[in-house]
Amino acid sequence: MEVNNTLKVLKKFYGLLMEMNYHKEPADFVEELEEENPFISMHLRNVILHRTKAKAILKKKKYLALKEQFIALKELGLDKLQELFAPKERIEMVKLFRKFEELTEKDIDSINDDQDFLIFISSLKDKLEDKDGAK
Amino acid sequence: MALNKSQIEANKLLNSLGWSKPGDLTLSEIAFASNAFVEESIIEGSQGRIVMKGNEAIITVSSKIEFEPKKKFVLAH
Repeated sequence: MEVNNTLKVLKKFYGLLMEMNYHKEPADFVEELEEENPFISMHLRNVILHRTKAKAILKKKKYLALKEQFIALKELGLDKLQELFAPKERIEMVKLFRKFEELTEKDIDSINDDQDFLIFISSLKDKLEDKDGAK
Repeated sequence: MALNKSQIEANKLLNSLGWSKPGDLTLSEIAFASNAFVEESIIEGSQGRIVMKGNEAIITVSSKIEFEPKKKFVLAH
């Protein structure tokens, strides 16, 4: 009898844990609270909005700083940096560019630069993640 | 009126960013907060472009465009 009660309590407890859903984003609560408590919903939305504005400012700042470093490194022509940009990917992209007849050589170079910059960012991210994982 | 798939996705994005009315966020803020970097540069064969890798992207709008609403139009596309 006692065992049955314990099992029932555990079952209810797990059920409640499942309902809590720790991974739920704040934005999901806004809709839920819309009818139940418009006051809290409005303020929660304001918090999310300001978090977005802050994220946009930080991202822009980081991007500009990274771009500056990237241009400086490219000008130095560091071998390590050149190794990041696999020539195979370049060849694949040139095939795609041929489909766009209005693209000039300058446009293609500029798109390649953007692509190199994105590769540079993702390599940095991977390196940072590896470093964090090693800690 | 039933929303199409793109409208549903657009609404989901706006909700996740806390947007509720026009003027809450600029297009540039929406882009930066979604990991898309926006810049203006000289482009010859088009008025704007997007280069993507993983969840990062660079959106370039032609610096030749002077009319602000047109810049926004290109960025939104």
